[in-house]
Amino acid sequence: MSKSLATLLHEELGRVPAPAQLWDRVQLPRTPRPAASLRLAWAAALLLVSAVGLHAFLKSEAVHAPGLVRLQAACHLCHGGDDLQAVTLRGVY
Amino acid sequence: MVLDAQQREVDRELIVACQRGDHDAFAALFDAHRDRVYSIALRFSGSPSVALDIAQDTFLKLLSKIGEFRGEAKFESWLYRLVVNSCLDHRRAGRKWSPLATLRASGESVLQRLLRSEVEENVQQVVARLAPELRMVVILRYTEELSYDEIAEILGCPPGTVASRLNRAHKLLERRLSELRGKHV
Repeated sequence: MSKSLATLLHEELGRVPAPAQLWDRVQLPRTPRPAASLRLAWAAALLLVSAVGLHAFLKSEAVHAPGLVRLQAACHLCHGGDDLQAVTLRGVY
Repeated sequence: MVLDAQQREVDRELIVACQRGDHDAFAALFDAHRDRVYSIALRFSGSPSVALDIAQDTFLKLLSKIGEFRGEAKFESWLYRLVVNSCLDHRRAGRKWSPLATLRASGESVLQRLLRSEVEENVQQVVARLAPELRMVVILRYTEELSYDEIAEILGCPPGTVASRLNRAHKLLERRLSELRGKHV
């Protein structure tokens, strides 16, 4: 390799200063997020509350009332009360 | 490497502070190495906007992985590996870079464009045409002034491979630069 090429590459490929906006871009994604353990605790608490709620609902009088005994409690999770009433009246249950 | 012992000691203290979650320490580490990271990204991509993306990725990786750094390797080698991998990841992502077109479209006036050194453009152009593995060796050698052994450590290959890649790159650069000079005569 000739010396001139090495010199040329040293001169033309030297370091350049980073633009100031780089720091802003490194900072930007640093939005505060809860720690993983905290997020896990929230998810567990939500699951527990849902389970307790569902259990309480299944044990409630509405589900076991005469005429609605065969009504599946799970239907309430997706369907509104009116829809279930209509289905009951049409004799499906 | 290029960093002296004093800088290494400062880095070591900053790394420990970063690992404790000290944001000011990260800012100081960023200040100490931002030009190095950005320059490699710019020389590799040839595009200021892509270089910003690469530098951003590198520092975000640094931030997320700093806890894994145990000091077995030199910090600067570790940082070089991060930026090299970011460069290669961006390239693998399938982005087509057109360095000269991007540089010219970056808000330069006609006068500035005329003042731009023809030699500089030629060198940027021929370096941009090198295969990624050759280009990275050239950048680490001439932008960062690293030794063959240091480049080998960063790239995870034998020093002989670095030497042969540099040799191939030199031949290609010589040939392409003389072709460009011939066109302009």
